[in-house]
Amino acid sequence: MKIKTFIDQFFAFTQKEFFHILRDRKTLLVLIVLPITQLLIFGFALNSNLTEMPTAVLDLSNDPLSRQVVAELDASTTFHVIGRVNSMEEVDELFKAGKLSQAFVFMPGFEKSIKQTGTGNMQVIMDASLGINSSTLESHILVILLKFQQRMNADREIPIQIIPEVKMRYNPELSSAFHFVPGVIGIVLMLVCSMMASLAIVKEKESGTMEVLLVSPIRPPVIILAKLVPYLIVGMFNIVIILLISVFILKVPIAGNIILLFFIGTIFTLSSLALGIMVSVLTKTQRSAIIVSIAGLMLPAIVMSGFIFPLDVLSPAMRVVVHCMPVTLFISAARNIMIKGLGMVAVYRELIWMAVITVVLIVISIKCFKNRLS
Amino acid sequence: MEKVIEVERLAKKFGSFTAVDHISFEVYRGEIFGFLGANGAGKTTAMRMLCGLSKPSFGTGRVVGFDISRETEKIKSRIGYMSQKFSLYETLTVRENIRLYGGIYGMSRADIRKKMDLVLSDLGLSEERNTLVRLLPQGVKQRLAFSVATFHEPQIVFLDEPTGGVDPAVRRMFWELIYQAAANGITVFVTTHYMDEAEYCDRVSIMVDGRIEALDTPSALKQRYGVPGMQEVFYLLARKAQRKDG
Repeated sequence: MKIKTFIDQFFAFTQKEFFHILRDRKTLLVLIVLPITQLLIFGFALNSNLTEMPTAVLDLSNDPLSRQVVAELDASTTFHVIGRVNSMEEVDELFKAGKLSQAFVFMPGFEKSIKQTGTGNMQVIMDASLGINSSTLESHILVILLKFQQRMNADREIPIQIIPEVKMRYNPELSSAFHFVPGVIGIVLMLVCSMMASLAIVKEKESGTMEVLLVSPIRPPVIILAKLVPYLIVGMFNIVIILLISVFILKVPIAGNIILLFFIGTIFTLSSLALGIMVSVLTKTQRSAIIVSIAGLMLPAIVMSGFIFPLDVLSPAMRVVVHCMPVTLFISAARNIMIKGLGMVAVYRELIWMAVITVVLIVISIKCFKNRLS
Repeated sequence: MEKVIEVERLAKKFGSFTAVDHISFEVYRGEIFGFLGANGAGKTTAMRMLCGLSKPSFGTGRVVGFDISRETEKIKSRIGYMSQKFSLYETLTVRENIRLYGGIYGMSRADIRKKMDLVLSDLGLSEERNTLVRLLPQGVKQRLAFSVATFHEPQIVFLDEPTGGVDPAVRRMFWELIYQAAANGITVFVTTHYMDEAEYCDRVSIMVDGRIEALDTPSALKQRYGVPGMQEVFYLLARKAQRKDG
């Protein structure tokens, strides 16, 4: 009988929270649009420096025409040839060392092919972690080659055409653009979830409805869980959108299991919500809740989660502290899955920790929830 | 007569300040009990202790037969409460508010539906069931809040300045609801500033500086102080107050 009462209370309350979210257009807008715009702004902003990209040349043809093409590309502001190499292995090594953004490869007989058929192929091997920039660079190459061809074709009867074949290749050092995307996802999800949740309870304290709830037989765990559910669903919806944007607009390929990534994202969302709920329980006004969630939650998350600075720069004690922040765990796990393509074995520790932290936060919130007015 | 509230030497201290100073009184079933006092006299604090919102510093009290220090959860499911702050959700419709509170008090969906039709037709709000509460006039909101507070048929309903900020005509309509509830056996415990409302109560207590200075029927009090109205009774007692407002 008692359990049934709890369930009835839970459903009645959850339904109410859904109505709040769906009717409050401004909040809904924040919940859906903010993460999208932030992801796009961060994603593009952190990907924009495209001058003097370090380039290696493997010219197995080594004829006047291939040298001319290389000189042409090198002369542009976009590419900078850092060296000529003699084998594919050397190209690989340079990529592994994180020294290259791309390599131009000419197979033997480049000029001969052009003279005989009018077309010649060159390979462009690109660091896939350039993300959206890879397509920008590709178009730069096409423009440079087109200008070159026009010049060459001016005094030729048969027009020539150079066809670049772009091949992507992973950069195991993870030194550039892709590295940021899991971080941005973590920060954006946390921003939206903890901020929204931090208002959930304090809002009712301000409006006066909390007093009525306190006089009613509804218990704090029911209130807190019922408040979590609708935000969790919105959060999961956000994860789907964010992953779609990452893959289709920011062009970050997800190397690992997307279901696992979604699952970890969901646990992370829950932990961010729990963090926000705790702030909401402990504060008295919406204003102080916002200040606490910005200064107390977002700043450390941005500065110390490994999003901007590598965790290695922190002192060992501090490293332990930041590993108690769910966002640090999420960013590390998301990088492992998205970029390195690792599986459950590599991320289960983060997953368990996040779950433990979430439970602890929820228990603290319930314990601190004042069942009486002071 | 059956007592639904019994309070003995109940006190609440905040530091060195004694908000409620060892008060004792009883309220009987079906009564409309007016709990009067100037701002800062301690009536809201006293009422909060009765509802289980605040722990007494001293003294004992029983509400609907349960101890107000130890059995607050049992009390909560048997009382209704309407505060001076508006207690409904503005962005929910009339129906959704009723459904929510019905659910919180553990009523079944079928019971809620049945009772809702009754209550809404009583209030003349059958047509407005899908209107957002925000869009209703203030007087209608307050009457709805009262109906929601008594929706689960509590034994006592506590009203903390329920008619604040509305005109006398609307207050009159509100009091019709109170009489109706009392006629149905719900005990009404009401705090108010308005002395015309004090006249409507079966008995009133007047708090001054945390103590109950007078407790009787309005007519007995007027007779005792030899004045024509409750306004004068209140004035005679309240001017003894040492505390400032607030």
